[in-house]
Amino acid sequence: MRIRRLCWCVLVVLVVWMAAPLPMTSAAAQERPRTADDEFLPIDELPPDERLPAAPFLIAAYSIAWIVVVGYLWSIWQRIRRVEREMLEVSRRIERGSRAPGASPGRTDHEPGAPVSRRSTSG
Amino acid sequence: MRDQGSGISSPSYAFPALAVLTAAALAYAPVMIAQAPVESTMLLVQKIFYFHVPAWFVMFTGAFTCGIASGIYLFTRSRNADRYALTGAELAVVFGLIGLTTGPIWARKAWGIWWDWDAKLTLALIVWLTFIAYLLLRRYGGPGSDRLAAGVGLFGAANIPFVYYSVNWWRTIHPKTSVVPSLGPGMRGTFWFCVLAFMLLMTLLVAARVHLERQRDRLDQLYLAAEDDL
Repeated sequence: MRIRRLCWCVLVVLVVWMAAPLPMTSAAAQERPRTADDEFLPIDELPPDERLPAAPFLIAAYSIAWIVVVGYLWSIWQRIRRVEREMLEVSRRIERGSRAPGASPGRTDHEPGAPVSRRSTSG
Repeated sequence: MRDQGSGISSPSYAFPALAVLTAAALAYAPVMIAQAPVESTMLLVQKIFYFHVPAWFVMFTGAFTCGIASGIYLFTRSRNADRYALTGAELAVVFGLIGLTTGPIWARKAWGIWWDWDAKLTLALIVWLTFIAYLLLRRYGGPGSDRLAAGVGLFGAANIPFVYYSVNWWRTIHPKTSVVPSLGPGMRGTFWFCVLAFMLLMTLLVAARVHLERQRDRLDQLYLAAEDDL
């Protein structure tokens, strides 16, 4: 019997506790001014400080797209140039090596037995 | 076109023509965008869409290129497939960066927030990070990293359909895939022209990037030849 009464008490307390904030929040919501966070508002009804001009966003988006594309093109171009420069250098060394018998065509700082360092340009 | 002595070659005879065509398309795209009708609810900021969506199209194409080429590389060990896989991954990262920066700029005006952790945006970020992981693996992974990276590339490409259809499968705040088919006549032409311009740009970048990898392979051969002469 006592347990049943205790259960009822707990249930009533729970119901009261859960229902209590409802009228308070709705009253508080009525007092607050309408903002775009709460519900749909036509753009004309927004306060001026909440209106964002579109042009800077548009310009920023297009600028970023162009900067990224041009930057990537430039990086490919630079990498190709670096590799081709190195190719010319190595082919010249090979030519020099084949013209002068006994001369090393590899790097000038190359030690006998050590592998020739390859591809100084990577990435 | 190849210099017999050093092995230096230019990409292709079609490359200059493709470059001119791409430059012309990209120069005319802003004119078309300016002339396109202004959307009724988002107004001027909607025009970001004409670069944002084509950038994602290129990102997806790059990711698929990387995935398919990685699969071919894993089965055949074709060096050419590996070159295309690396190129696809790089394009996925570059154009994913454009998509991931222009999107939040649009969102700030349209939604009032820069970012939201909803399914579409989060999946897009994960796929982009996957391709960054691919490139880092290729750069710093050491010997054998090409095969490991190929696995990552396959995994990244497999995620693309989830990114694309996430707006239809889950409740997200991102516009759905039905936006493009429902574009008005003035907007549709501009949009597909921008897609064409971006696809031309992608072809140009693929040609240049694959050429770079070919030159690197030739440089390796030259070093091997130099080593053999010792």
